[in-house]
Amino acid sequence: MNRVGATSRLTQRLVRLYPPDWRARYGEEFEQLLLDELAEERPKARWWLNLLGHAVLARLVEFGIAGNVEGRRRIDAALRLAAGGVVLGLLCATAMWAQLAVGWQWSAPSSQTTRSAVELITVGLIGLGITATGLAAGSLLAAVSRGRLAQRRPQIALGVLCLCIVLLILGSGSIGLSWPGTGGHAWAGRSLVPAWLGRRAWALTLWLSSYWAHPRRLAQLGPTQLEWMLVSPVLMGAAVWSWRSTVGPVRSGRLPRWITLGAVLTAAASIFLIAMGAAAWSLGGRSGPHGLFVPGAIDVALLMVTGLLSVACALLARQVWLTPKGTLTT
Amino acid sequence: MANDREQGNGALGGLGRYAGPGTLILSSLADSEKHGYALTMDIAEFAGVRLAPGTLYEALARLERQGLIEPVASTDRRRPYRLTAQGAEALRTQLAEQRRVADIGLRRLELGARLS
Repeated sequence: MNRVGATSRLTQRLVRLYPPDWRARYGEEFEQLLLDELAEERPKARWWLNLLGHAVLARLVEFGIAGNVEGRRRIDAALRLAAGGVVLGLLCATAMWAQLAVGWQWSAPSSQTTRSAVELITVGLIGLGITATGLAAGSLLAAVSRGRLAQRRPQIALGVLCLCIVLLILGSGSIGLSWPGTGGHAWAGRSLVPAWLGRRAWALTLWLSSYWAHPRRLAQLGPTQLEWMLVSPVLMGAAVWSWRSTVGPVRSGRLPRWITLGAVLTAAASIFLIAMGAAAWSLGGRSGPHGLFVPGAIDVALLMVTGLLSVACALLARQVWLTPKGTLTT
Repeated sequence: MANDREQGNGALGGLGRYAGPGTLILSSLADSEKHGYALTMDIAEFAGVRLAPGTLYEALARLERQGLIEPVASTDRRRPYRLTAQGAEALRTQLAEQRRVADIGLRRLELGARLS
């Protein structure tokens, strides 16, 4: 292999560790510096660690977590992190909601706390769903209006996205038939929670389970369920990746600040409601008849995640609120 | 206040722990414009410190953002930087402050040697 070519490829890979905006400004000259240094002597471990450390730092700055960033970038960073929080919050809430829905298909909970938990998580889920739809629609419109879709040649990413969605719909429909709720029971649809929705929500979040820490319980599942638990998160990750590749990162663009603030605040409030619901269920809820509505270890973990997420989103909303208005012109 | 410091209308004090690389880079650029590799070599020669690439470019980006240095147009991939008037003033203030501290330290050392 040509040594010069190999070094050049290595430096290109190293520069790719840095965030895109940083690369656009400093990438070329930084790559040349790396080439000059590598040509001079073989670098020590400290040299590599320095590169990696500063690449991580540059990415944290890009996300507004470290360093001083300008107002527009701060708003965009807050919005991007809130969008991540919305996705994670949706996952956690759906997982808990689906488990509560299992019990509710058989019997109404005997505890008012558990009943309130379902209601709070349901309202939070609706709030997150509206926020997610708004963010997705806004990003798509912005990408179309700027012609970014055409620039990015999104055929492959769009194909992956469609494939993932179709597989998730078909898979959740098939796996959902073994839902421990009604599963075709005569009582189906007797409750607040529609059975068809509960089934799909359960199937889509089946992989969020404490069973991973208990191989014996895992072994009790059928091979199809186990395969689905492995494949479904990959499909979800691929769907998110292909969406982001097609549309690009969430940006506030020329939106008025109150819309951005509203989106982040709605996300924070929705996740807070979900965390409250999870807390009511995990800490104060009593089981219903036949051992239904019993929270598991995974629900306590999800409660902690949603609690942290709601605090993080509230801090992001504060960040958007405190960003001076004068910095919002593009 | 943080914004004032970030915009560099004072000394390098606002750089905090980055003042070290910042002072070295500004000192290196004080006599002529230099690109990244030339800066590394020059600083290694006059200060005995070799700035690693990550540290160098983080400091360069900060100094540029603060308006203390600016890039010079170049067709080469090695883009040179030069000191701005604001950068020269910041360096002068920073070095004067370092000299003041060094003078105090040296005086006290002499005093201590005499007393012992």
